[in-house]
Amino acid sequence: MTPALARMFPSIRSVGDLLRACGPAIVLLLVFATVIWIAPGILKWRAINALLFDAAPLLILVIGSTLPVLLGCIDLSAAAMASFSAVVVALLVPEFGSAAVPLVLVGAAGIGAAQGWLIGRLQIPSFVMTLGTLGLFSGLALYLSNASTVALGPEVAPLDFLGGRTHGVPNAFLAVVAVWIFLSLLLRFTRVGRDIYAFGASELAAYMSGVRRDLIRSCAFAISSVCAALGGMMLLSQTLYSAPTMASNLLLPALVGVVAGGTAISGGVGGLSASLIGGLTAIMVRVGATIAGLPGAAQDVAFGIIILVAVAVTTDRTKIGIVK
Amino acid sequence: MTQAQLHAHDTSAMASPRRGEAGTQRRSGHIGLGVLKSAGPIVSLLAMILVFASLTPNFVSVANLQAILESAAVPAVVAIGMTFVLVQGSIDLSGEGVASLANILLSILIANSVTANDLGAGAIGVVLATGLAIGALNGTLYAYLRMPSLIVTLAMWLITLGLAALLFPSRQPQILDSGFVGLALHKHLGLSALVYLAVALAFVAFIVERRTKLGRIGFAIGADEALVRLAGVNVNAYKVGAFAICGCLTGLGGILTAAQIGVGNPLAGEGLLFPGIAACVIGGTLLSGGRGGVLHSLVGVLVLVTLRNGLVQTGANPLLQKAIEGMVIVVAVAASTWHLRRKTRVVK
Repeated sequence: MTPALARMFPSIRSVGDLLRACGPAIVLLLVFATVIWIAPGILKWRAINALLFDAAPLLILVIGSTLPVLLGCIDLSAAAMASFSAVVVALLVPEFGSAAVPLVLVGAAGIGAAQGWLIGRLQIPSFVMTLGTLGLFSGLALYLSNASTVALGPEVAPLDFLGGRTHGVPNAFLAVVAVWIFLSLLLRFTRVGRDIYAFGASELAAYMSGVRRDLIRSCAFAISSVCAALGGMMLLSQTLYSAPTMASNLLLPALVGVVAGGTAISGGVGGLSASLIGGLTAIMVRVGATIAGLPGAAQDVAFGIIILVAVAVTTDRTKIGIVK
Repeated sequence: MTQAQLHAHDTSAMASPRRGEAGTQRRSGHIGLGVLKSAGPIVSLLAMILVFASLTPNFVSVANLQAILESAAVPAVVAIGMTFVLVQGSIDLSGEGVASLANILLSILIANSVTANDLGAGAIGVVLATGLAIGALNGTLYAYLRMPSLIVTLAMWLITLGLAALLFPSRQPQILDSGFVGLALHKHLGLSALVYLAVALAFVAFIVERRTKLGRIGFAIGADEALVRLAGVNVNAYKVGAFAICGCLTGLGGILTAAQIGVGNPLAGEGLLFPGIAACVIGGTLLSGGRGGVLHSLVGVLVLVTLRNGLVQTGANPLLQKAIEGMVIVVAVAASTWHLRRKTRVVK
C-alpha cells in the first residue's frame, strides 16, 4: 500500500484489514450480482425505482438504529415507534392537518430522548428499557387505534411529498439519503458525534474525560426515535392508512441491516455508510429470494446463514476485547 | 487502562456469585436492609398479588392460582435455560425459533394424524438432542468464531423459524399419542405434570448452578471473563455448555407447548423470547452477567405471569395489556437493581 493511502486509512494495515473493511460491500455486490443473474430485469430503471420506494422505510430504520448500537446499546423499540407514530399521525390529521407530521416527529424526539435519559438515570440496560417501550408503544398503538386501521385524511402535504417522486426518484429515498448525509456529517464533525464513538469505545473512559453520558445517550436515542417515526410516515405515505402493527415486522431486518454492515454490537466500531450497505444487503436478499421463488421459510433460513457468514467475515475482532 | 481493566476495577469488590448481598451489606451496614434489597423481586411479586387480591376476590381462589402455575410452567423452563446464558453475560435470542422447531419436529415424529412416524418417547429424545445441538452450535459459533452472541442467535432465530416452517407438512399434524397429550391434561392435586416437571427442573438447575463447575464458572465468566481466562480455565467450553443447556431446555419448552396445544404449529414458540428474557431480568439476573440465578428467574416468571393473569381478572383493557406489561418490566428492573447504582457503573 502506498504511504499516501496508508495515511488516509490508518486503520488498514494489511490485505486482511482491507478485505474486512470492504467485506460488507463485497457481500452486497455478490448478493446483487446473484439477483441480477437470477432476474436480469431488476436492472431496469422502473424496477430499481420501485425497489428504492419500497426499501426506504427499512433503510431509515436501519440508519436510526445504528446510533444506539454505536454506543454499545440497542433500540428494540424502533419498529414499534414507527407503527405508533403512524397511528398517531393518522389520528391527529383531522385535527391539525399537515402540522400533525412535524408534531409527531418532535414528540418522537422527546420520547426517544426520555428513553435515553432514563437508561442512564434508572441504570437499566437499554435492552430492557427498549423492550419495555416496545410493549408500551405497541400497546398504545393498539389502544389508540382500537386495534383497527385508521384511514388517512386527504391532502397531507408532507406525506404527499414522501409518497411522491422528484425527476422520477422516490422522495422517500431522497429523504433517506438526506438523513444519511446529515447524520454522517454530525457523527464525523460535531462534538456529539465524536462523543458517541468515544462512548461506544469505552464508556468509563469517556465519562472520566468529561463526556456527558446522559446527554449523548439521549441524543442517540432521540435520533433513533425520529428516524423510526419518519419510517412510519413513509409507510403511511405508501399505504394511506395506518395499522397498529404495520411496522412490527421491520424490527429484525433493521437490526440485521445494522450488523450486516459491520457495525459492532459492542459499540464504537462502524458507522452509517456501513449500515446503509447492510440495509441494502438485507433488502437484496429478500428481493432475490422472492424472485427466485423460494418460499418464505427458506428465505428466513438463507437470510440467517448470510448474516452468520457476513458477520463472521467482516467483524474486526482486534478492536473488541471480550465478545459477549 | 483498558475497558476490561476498568470494568474489573469496578466489580473487583464482588467476585463470588452472592457478592451482591455481601456488597450491599458492607455498604449499608444493616444486614436487614441488604436482605430487603436483594429480595426486591419477591417483595414486588407479593405486593402485586396483594393488589390484585384486593381488586378481585377471585384472584386468590385455588383455581386461579393453579391457572397461574399452569401458565408459568413453559416460560419457567425456558427462563431456566436462558439464565445459564445470561449469567455469563451473553444472550440467546433464538428461543422462539428453537421452540417452534422443537414443537413441529415432535409433532411429526410422535404418533400423529399426518405422517406415519411413531417414535413414542424416542421422539422426545430426538427433539431434545436437536435443541442441544442447536444450542451447542450457537455457543461454538459465538465462543470460537468470536461473533457476538446477540448476532449469532439472531441469525439462528431466523434459521430455526424457517426450518420449522419448512418441516410443516401439508396439513396441521394432530398429536395422537394419548400419553403425551395427557402430560398436560391429567391433573394430580389440580396441577398437570408440566408444573411438576418445571419444579423438578428448577431444583436440578439450582443444584447445577450452585454445586457444579459449569454453574460456578458461569458466574465467574459473567463477572470477569478476562480474569477467568488468566486463571487458565477453558472459558469457551463453558460457554458452549451454557448455550447447549439453553438450547435443550428451550427445545423442552417447545415439546411442552406441543403437549398443551396438542398439534404441531410452526409458530408455537412465538411470544416466548422477550417475556422470557424480561422474566430473568425482573428476577434480578443481570444482562451484563455474574449476578442472579435460576431462582431469581423463576420469581421473574411468576411476576410476569401473575401480572398477565391479574390484568385479565381485573378486567383491564386487553389492548393496553402490552403497554402495562412494558411499563412494569421497566419499573421492576429499575427497582430490583436500584441498590447496584453507582456513578461509574456501566449499563449498556
